[in-house]
Amino acid sequence: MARRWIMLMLTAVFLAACAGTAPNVLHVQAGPGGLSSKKEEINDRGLARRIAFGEVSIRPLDLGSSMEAQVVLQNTSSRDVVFEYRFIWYDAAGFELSTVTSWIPAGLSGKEARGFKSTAPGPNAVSFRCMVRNLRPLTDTGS
Amino acid sequence: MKRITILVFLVCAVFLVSGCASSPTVTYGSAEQVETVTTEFGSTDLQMIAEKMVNSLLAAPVLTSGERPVLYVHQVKNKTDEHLDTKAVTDKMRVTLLKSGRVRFTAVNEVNDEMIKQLEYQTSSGYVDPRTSSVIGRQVGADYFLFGEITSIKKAAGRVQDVYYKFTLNLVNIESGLIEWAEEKEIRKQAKKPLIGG
Repeated sequence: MARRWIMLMLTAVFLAACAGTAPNVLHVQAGPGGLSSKKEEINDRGLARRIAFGEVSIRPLDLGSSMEAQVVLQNTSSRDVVFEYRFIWYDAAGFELSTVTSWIPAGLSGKEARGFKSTAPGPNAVSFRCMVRNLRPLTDTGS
Repeated sequence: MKRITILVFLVCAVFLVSGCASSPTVTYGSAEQVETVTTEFGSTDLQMIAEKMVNSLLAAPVLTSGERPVLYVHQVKNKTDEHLDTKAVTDKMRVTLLKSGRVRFTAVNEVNDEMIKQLEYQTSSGYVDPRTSSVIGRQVGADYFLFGEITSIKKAAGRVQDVYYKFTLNLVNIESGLIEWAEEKEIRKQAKKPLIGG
Protein backbone atom coordinates (compact mmCIF):
# COMPACT_ATOMS: atom_id res chain seq x y z
CA MET A 1 0.00 0.00 0.00
CA ALA A 2 2.76 2.39 1.04
CA ARG A 3 4.68 1.55 -2.12
CA ARG A 4 1.64 2.45 -4.23
CA TRP A 5 1.39 5.86 -2.49
CA ILE A 6 5.07 6.53 -3.06
CA MET A 7 4.66 5.68 -6.75
CA LEU A 8 1.64 7.98 -7.01
CA MET A 9 3.49 10.82 -5.30
CA LEU A 10 6.53 10.36 -7.54
CA THR A 11 4.32 10.39 -10.63
CA ALA A 12 2.62 13.59 -9.42
CA VAL A 13 6.00 15.25 -8.78
CA PHE A 14 7.23 14.12 -12.21
CA LEU A 15 4.15 15.47 -13.96
CA ALA A 16 4.33 18.75 -12.02
CA ALA A 17 7.96 19.15 -13.05
CA CYS A 18 7.06 18.64 -16.70
CA ALA A 19 4.14 21.07 -16.65
CA GLY A 20 4.75 24.75 -17.35
CA THR A 21 4.15 26.95 -14.33
CA ALA A 22 2.62 30.38 -14.82
CA PRO A 23 5.17 33.19 -14.53
CA ASN A 24 5.53 35.57 -11.62
CA VAL A 25 4.20 38.94 -12.72
CA LEU A 26 4.77 42.49 -11.51
CA HIS A 27 1.83 44.68 -12.57
CA VAL A 28 2.84 48.34 -12.74
CA GLN A 29 0.69 51.40 -13.41
CA ALA A 30 2.89 54.32 -14.37
CA GLY A 31 3.16 57.54 -16.35
CA PRO A 32 6.04 59.82 -17.32
CA GLY A 33 5.44 61.51 -13.96
CA GLY A 34 6.34 58.35 -12.10
CA LEU A 35 4.99 55.19 -10.56
CA SER A 36 1.27 55.05 -9.63
CA SER A 37 0.93 51.52 -8.28
CA LYS A 38 2.51 48.09 -8.38
CA LYS A 39 1.25 44.65 -7.48
CA GLU A 40 3.02 41.32 -7.42
CA GLU A 41 1.33 38.18 -8.70
CA ILE A 42 3.24 35.13 -7.50
CA ASN A 43 2.37 31.94 -9.37
CA ASP A 44 5.67 30.10 -8.94
CA ARG A 45 6.64 30.17 -5.25
CA GLY A 46 9.82 28.19 -5.93
CA LEU A 47 11.06 30.86 -8.35
CA ALA A 48 9.88 33.67 -6.04
CA ARG A 49 12.17 32.27 -3.34
CA ARG A 50 15.14 32.76 -5.70
CA ILE A 51 14.18 35.81 -7.84
CA ALA A 52 12.47 38.74 -6.12
CA PHE A 53 11.01 41.87 -7.68
CA GLY A 54 12.77 44.97 -6.36
CA GLU A 55 12.54 48.70 -6.88
CA VAL A 56 10.70 50.08 -9.93
CA SER A 57 12.01 53.30 -11.47
CA ILE A 58 10.32 55.41 -14.15
CA ARG A 59 12.12 57.99 -16.29
CA PRO A 60 10.25 60.41 -18.59
CA LEU A 61 11.27 60.51 -22.26
CA ASP A 62 10.36 62.50 -25.34
CA LEU A 63 9.56 65.72 -23.40
CA GLY A 64 7.40 63.79 -20.96
CA SER A 65 5.19 62.04 -23.49
CA SER A 66 6.84 58.65 -23.07
CA MET A 67 8.79 56.77 -20.41
CA GLU A 68 11.44 54.21 -19.65
CA ALA A 69 10.97 51.71 -16.85
CA GLN A 70 13.50 49.76 -14.83
CA VAL A 71 12.64 46.84 -12.58
CA VAL A 72 15.32 45.53 -10.23
CA LEU A 73 15.42 41.74 -10.03
CA GLN A 74 17.25 40.33 -7.03
CA ASN A 75 18.70 36.85 -6.77
CA THR A 76 17.94 36.09 -3.14
CA SER A 77 19.76 32.76 -3.21
CA SER A 78 23.51 32.31 -2.98
CA ARG A 79 23.62 30.29 -6.20
CA ASP A 80 23.54 31.47 -9.83
CA VAL A 81 20.02 31.53 -11.24
CA VAL A 82 19.01 31.50 -14.90
CA PHE A 83 15.51 32.53 -15.88
CA GLU A 84 13.42 34.17 -18.61
CA TYR A 85 11.78 37.59 -18.46
CA ARG A 86 9.73 39.91 -20.61
CA PHE A 87 7.97 43.26 -20.47
CA ILE A 88 4.56 43.86 -22.02
CA TRP A 89 3.11 47.38 -22.22
CA TYR A 90 -0.59 48.30 -22.31
CA ASP A 91 -2.65 51.39 -23.09
CA ALA A 92 -5.43 52.80 -20.90
CA ALA A 93 -7.99 50.47 -22.48
CA GLY A 94 -5.85 47.45 -21.72
CA PHE A 95 -4.73 46.87 -25.31
CA GLU A 96 -1.30 45.34 -25.72
CA LEU A 97 1.17 47.78 -27.32
CA SER A 98 4.42 45.83 -27.36
CA THR A 99 5.58 44.25 -30.60
CA VAL A 100 8.63 42.58 -29.07
CA THR A 101 7.07 40.29 -26.45
CA SER A 102 9.50 37.39 -26.65
CA TRP A 103 10.94 35.79 -23.53
CA ILE A 104 14.53 36.87 -22.96
CA PRO A 105 16.93 34.49 -21.22
CA ALA A 106 18.91 36.07 -18.38
CA GLY A 107 21.01 35.11 -15.40
CA LEU A 108 21.95 36.54 -12.04
CA SER A 109 24.88 35.49 -9.89
CA GLY A 110 24.31 34.56 -6.27
CA LYS A 111 22.85 37.52 -4.31
CA GLU A 112 23.19 39.76 -7.39
CA ALA A 113 20.60 42.46 -8.11
CA ARG A 114 20.36 44.11 -11.51
CA GLY A 115 17.99 46.53 -13.24
CA PHE A 116 16.09 45.26 -16.28
CA LYS A 117 14.92 48.08 -18.53
CA SER A 118 12.16 48.55 -21.05
CA THR A 119 11.02 51.60 -23.00
CA ALA A 120 7.33 52.31 -23.55
CA PRO A 121 6.57 51.48 -27.19
CA GLY A 122 4.34 54.55 -27.58
CA PRO A 123 3.09 57.68 -25.82
CA ASN A 124 -0.23 56.02 -24.97
CA ALA A 125 1.37 53.39 -22.68
CA VAL A 126 0.05 53.61 -19.11
CA SER A 127 0.98 50.26 -17.60
CA PHE A 128 3.28 47.31 -18.04
CA ARG A 129 3.84 43.82 -16.76
CA CYS A 130 7.26 42.46 -15.96
CA MET A 131 7.10 38.67 -16.11
CA VAL A 132 9.67 36.21 -14.79
CA ARG A 133 9.65 32.44 -15.21
CA ASN A 134 11.99 29.48 -15.09
CA LEU A 135 14.07 28.83 -18.20
CA ARG A 136 11.90 26.82 -20.55
CA PRO A 137 13.74 26.63 -23.86
CA LEU A 138 12.74 24.87 -27.04
CA THR A 139 15.56 22.34 -27.37
CA ASP A 140 16.57 19.70 -29.87
CA THR A 141 14.61 17.14 -27.90
CA GLY A 142 11.46 19.18 -28.42
CA SER A 143 10.86 19.46 -24.71
CA MET B 1 -5.96 -16.12 -21.19
CA LYS B 2 -3.70 -16.88 -24.13
CA ARG B 3 -5.92 -14.76 -26.36
CA ILE B 4 -5.58 -11.76 -23.97
CA THR B 5 -1.81 -12.13 -23.92
CA ILE B 6 -1.73 -12.09 -27.73
CA LEU B 7 -4.00 -9.02 -27.75
CA VAL B 8 -1.77 -7.15 -25.28
CA PHE B 9 1.27 -8.14 -27.33
CA LEU B 10 -0.38 -6.84 -30.53
CA VAL B 11 -1.33 -3.53 -28.92
CA CYS B 12 2.23 -3.10 -27.64
CA ALA B 13 3.57 -3.92 -31.12
CA VAL B 14 1.29 -1.28 -32.69
CA PHE B 15 2.53 1.36 -30.21
CA LEU B 16 6.12 0.35 -30.88
CA VAL B 17 5.72 0.50 -34.66
CA SER B 18 3.88 3.83 -34.55
CA GLY B 19 6.69 5.19 -32.38
CA CYS B 20 9.22 4.17 -34.99
CA ALA B 21 7.21 5.72 -37.87
CA SER B 22 9.45 7.75 -40.12
CA SER B 23 7.13 10.74 -40.65
CA PRO B 24 8.16 13.72 -38.49
CA THR B 25 5.88 15.20 -35.87
CA VAL B 26 5.07 18.80 -36.68
CA THR B 27 3.64 21.13 -34.06
CA TYR B 28 3.15 24.88 -33.90
CA GLY B 29 5.07 26.58 -31.11
CA SER B 30 5.10 30.07 -29.70
CA ALA B 31 7.34 32.53 -31.59
CA GLU B 32 8.06 34.07 -28.17
CA GLN B 33 9.58 30.89 -26.72
CA VAL B 34 13.30 30.79 -26.03
CA GLU B 35 15.00 28.53 -28.58
CA THR B 36 18.23 26.64 -27.88
CA VAL B 37 18.15 23.98 -30.58
CA THR B 38 21.74 24.70 -31.67
CA THR B 39 24.38 27.35 -30.93
CA GLU B 40 23.84 28.91 -34.36
CA PHE B 41 22.18 32.31 -34.62
CA GLY B 42 18.48 31.77 -33.97
CA SER B 43 15.14 33.42 -33.39
CA THR B 44 15.82 34.20 -29.72
CA ASP B 45 19.09 35.95 -30.65
CA LEU B 46 17.22 38.06 -33.20
CA GLN B 47 14.54 38.96 -30.65
CA MET B 48 17.08 39.76 -27.93
CA ILE B 49 18.99 42.07 -30.27
CA ALA B 50 15.81 43.81 -31.51
CA GLU B 51 14.57 44.27 -27.92
CA LYS B 52 17.84 45.79 -26.70
CA MET B 53 18.31 48.06 -29.74
CA VAL B 54 14.72 49.34 -29.77
CA ASN B 55 14.67 50.02 -26.01
CA SER B 56 17.97 51.88 -26.25
CA LEU B 57 17.10 53.86 -29.39
CA LEU B 58 13.69 54.91 -28.05
CA ALA B 59 15.42 56.26 -24.94
CA ALA B 60 18.15 58.06 -26.94
CA PRO B 61 18.12 61.90 -26.86
CA VAL B 62 18.00 62.01 -30.66
CA LEU B 63 14.52 60.45 -30.57
CA THR B 64 13.30 62.18 -27.42
CA SER B 65 13.40 65.75 -28.73
CA GLY B 66 9.74 65.66 -29.76
CA GLU B 67 10.56 65.69 -33.50
CA ARG B 68 10.05 62.68 -35.77
CA PRO B 69 13.35 62.26 -37.59
CA VAL B 70 13.54 60.35 -40.87
CA LEU B 71 15.83 57.32 -40.85
CA TYR B 72 17.03 54.79 -43.32
CA VAL B 73 18.70 51.46 -42.66
CA HIS B 74 21.98 51.47 -44.54
CA GLN B 75 23.62 48.15 -43.78
CA VAL B 76 24.33 45.56 -41.12
CA LYS B 77 27.49 43.72 -42.13
CA ASN B 78 27.62 40.04 -41.34
CA LYS B 79 31.18 39.34 -40.20
CA THR B 80 30.38 35.89 -38.82
CA ASP B 81 31.05 32.67 -40.72
CA GLU B 82 27.32 31.86 -40.69
CA HIS B 83 24.75 32.87 -43.26
CA LEU B 84 22.66 35.42 -41.35
CA ASP B 85 19.74 37.43 -42.60
CA THR B 86 20.69 40.69 -40.91
CA LYS B 87 17.72 42.38 -42.60
CA ALA B 88 15.41 40.29 -40.42
CA VAL B 89 16.90 42.01 -37.36
CA THR B 90 16.59 45.53 -38.77
CA ASP B 91 13.09 44.80 -40.10
CA LYS B 92 11.98 43.72 -36.61
CA MET B 93 13.43 46.93 -35.18
CA ARG B 94 11.91 49.08 -37.89
CA VAL B 95 8.39 47.74 -37.26
CA THR B 96 8.66 48.42 -33.52
CA LEU B 97 10.16 51.88 -34.00
CA LEU B 98 7.51 52.86 -36.56
CA LYS B 99 4.75 51.72 -34.22
CA SER B 100 6.17 53.99 -31.52
CA GLY B 101 5.25 56.97 -33.71
CA ARG B 102 8.50 58.70 -32.78
CA VAL B 103 10.43 58.07 -35.98
CA ARG B 104 9.85 57.75 -39.72
CA PHE B 105 11.71 55.56 -42.21
CA THR B 106 12.42 56.23 -45.85
CA ALA B 107 12.06 53.31 -48.26
CA VAL B 108 14.44 54.88 -50.80
CA ASN B 109 17.29 52.42 -50.25
CA GLU B 110 15.01 49.40 -50.63
CA VAL B 111 12.39 50.11 -53.25
CA ASN B 112 13.70 53.23 -55.02
CA ASP B 113 13.54 51.66 -58.50
CA GLU B 114 9.90 50.69 -57.99
CA MET B 115 9.06 54.17 -56.70
CA ILE B 116 10.76 55.87 -59.68
CA LYS B 117 8.94 53.53 -62.10
CA GLN B 118 5.63 54.31 -60.41
CA LEU B 119 6.32 58.07 -60.46
CA GLU B 120 7.21 57.89 -64.16
CA TYR B 121 4.08 55.84 -64.86
CA GLN B 122 1.92 58.36 -62.98
CA THR B 123 3.48 61.47 -64.54
CA SER B 124 4.50 60.40 -68.06
CA SER B 125 2.39 57.45 -69.22
CA GLY B 126 -0.78 59.44 -69.78
CA TYR B 127 -2.83 56.70 -68.11
CA VAL B 128 -3.15 58.46 -64.74
CA ASP B 129 -5.42 61.42 -64.03
CA PRO B 130 -2.95 64.31 -63.42
CA ARG B 131 -5.13 65.54 -60.56
CA THR B 132 -4.44 62.32 -58.65
CA SER B 133 -0.88 61.57 -59.70
CA SER B 134 2.08 62.00 -57.34
CA VAL B 135 4.52 64.79 -58.09
CA ILE B 136 8.22 64.23 -58.77
CA GLY B 137 10.64 65.94 -56.41
CA ARG B 138 8.74 65.63 -53.15
CA GLN B 139 10.45 62.68 -51.51
CA VAL B 140 11.54 63.36 -47.94
CA GLY B 141 15.27 63.20 -47.31
CA ALA B 142 16.58 61.11 -44.44
CA ASP B 143 18.06 62.83 -41.38
CA TYR B 144 19.90 59.80 -40.06
CA PHE B 145 20.99 56.37 -41.20
CA LEU B 146 21.56 53.17 -39.29
CA PHE B 147 24.58 50.97 -39.91
CA GLY B 148 26.19 48.20 -37.97
CA GLU B 149 27.78 44.81 -37.93
CA ILE B 150 27.56 41.43 -36.30
CA THR B 151 30.67 39.47 -35.39
CA SER B 152 31.21 36.13 -33.74
CA ILE B 153 33.93 34.20 -32.00
CA LYS B 154 33.59 30.42 -31.95
CA LYS B 155 35.59 27.98 -29.90
CA ALA B 156 35.27 24.27 -29.35
CA ALA B 157 37.20 21.98 -27.07
CA GLY B 158 36.24 18.40 -26.44
CA ARG B 159 32.52 18.19 -26.00
CA VAL B 160 32.05 21.92 -25.31
CA GLN B 161 31.25 24.47 -28.00
CA ASP B 162 31.18 28.18 -27.18
CA VAL B 163 29.85 30.93 -29.45
CA TYR B 164 30.01 34.66 -28.71
CA TYR B 165 28.05 37.12 -30.86
CA LYS B 166 28.39 40.89 -30.77
CA PHE B 167 25.89 43.06 -32.59
CA THR B 168 26.70 46.77 -32.91
CA LEU B 169 24.40 49.41 -34.36
CA ASN B 170 25.15 53.10 -34.98
CA LEU B 171 22.93 56.05 -35.87
CA VAL B 172 24.67 58.66 -38.00
CA ASN B 173 23.53 62.23 -38.61
CA ILE B 174 23.75 62.59 -42.39
CA GLU B 175 24.30 66.35 -42.31
CA SER B 176 27.01 66.44 -39.64
CA GLY B 177 28.48 62.98 -40.09
CA LEU B 178 28.39 62.49 -36.32
CA ILE B 179 27.44 59.19 -34.72
CA GLU B 180 24.57 60.32 -32.50
CA TRP B 181 23.79 56.95 -30.91
CA ALA B 182 25.39 53.54 -30.71
CA GLU B 183 24.44 50.36 -28.91
CA GLU B 184 25.76 46.83 -28.72
CA LYS B 185 24.36 43.51 -27.63
CA GLU B 186 26.50 40.58 -26.63
CA ILE B 187 25.22 37.03 -26.65
CA ARG B 188 27.03 33.95 -25.38
CA LYS B 189 25.82 30.46 -26.19
CA GLN B 190 27.31 27.19 -25.08
CA ALA B 191 26.55 23.64 -26.05
CA LYS B 192 27.82 20.44 -24.50
CA LYS B 193 27.59 17.29 -26.54
CA PRO B 194 26.30 14.24 -24.69
CA LEU B 195 28.82 11.63 -23.67
CA ILE B 196 27.00 8.97 -25.67
CA GLY B 197 25.55 9.68 -29.12
CA GLY B 198 25.41 13.28 -30.37
